[in-house]
Amino acid sequence: MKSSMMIVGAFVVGCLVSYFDLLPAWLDSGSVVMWVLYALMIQVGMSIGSDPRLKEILQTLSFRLLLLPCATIIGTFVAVALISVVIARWSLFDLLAVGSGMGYYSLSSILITSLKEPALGAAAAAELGTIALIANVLREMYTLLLAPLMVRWFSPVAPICSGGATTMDVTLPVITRYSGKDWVFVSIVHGILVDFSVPFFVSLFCSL
Amino acid sequence: MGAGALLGFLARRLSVLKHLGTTSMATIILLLFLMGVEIGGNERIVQNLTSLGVEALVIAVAATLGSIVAARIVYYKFFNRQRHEE
Repeated sequence: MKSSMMIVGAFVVGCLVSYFDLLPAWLDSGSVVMWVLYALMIQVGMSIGSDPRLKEILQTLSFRLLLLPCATIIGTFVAVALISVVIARWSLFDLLAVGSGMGYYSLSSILITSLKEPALGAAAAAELGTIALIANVLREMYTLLLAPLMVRWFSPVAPICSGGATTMDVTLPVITRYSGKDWVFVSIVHGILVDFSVPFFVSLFCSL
Repeated sequence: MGAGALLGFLARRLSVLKHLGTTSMATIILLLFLMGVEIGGNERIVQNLTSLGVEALVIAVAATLGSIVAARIVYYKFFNRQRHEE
């Protein structure tokens, strides 16, 4: 919770600083963002590669464990595709890119902003990135706040699917509490697998 | 990211990697700050913030609902029965 606040806080401070023109001019360029993004992607990759749980998880992958991440991804895509009928301003694939964030708002918003820039122009790409940020923060919040209702109405695995890429860290405590301890391992594996899928699907839908 | 994964796997015994969580957190915070900078300086976005928020809200509700409906289907089709047998 503390780290989510810091991330959103950094975003808000950035907005205010540049809205009131308090910024040194050299920072005002896309290339700095690109380099910081590369640095992040290398670190994300390194933490995945060096994860001691990686081997264990790959060994225990069973059909049923794979079902849940598939349900999360397919359920999200189908619902977002349906909603694209209502939102005319963005294409189906733009919206699917936002949906592919799966609650991983920091990475998805940054990726969308930079990957969509050539096709949409900087302004519209930043708008779509902002939508991705807000939509995926909201998804995490819904999971944190509505987990008990999800368990009651949609089965114990509902908060795991709704938590998306966050079920091995941010939303794990509420899942443990409301779905039960039996689901902790499933939730962690689900989070890690969906986490992997985020950069993949976001860049896929951004390129379509 | 692939390069990072390979590097991380090869260097997985190094203790430096224990700090990866902290450094990538710092990088994420820096990036989000820079994103904020890009957005706050963009008048079009500042003016459209309400409609962006509404669109985000609709997408978030759809994504969440879609995934929990899929969760329910998978649970009752594949998990529940086997749990009863156990």
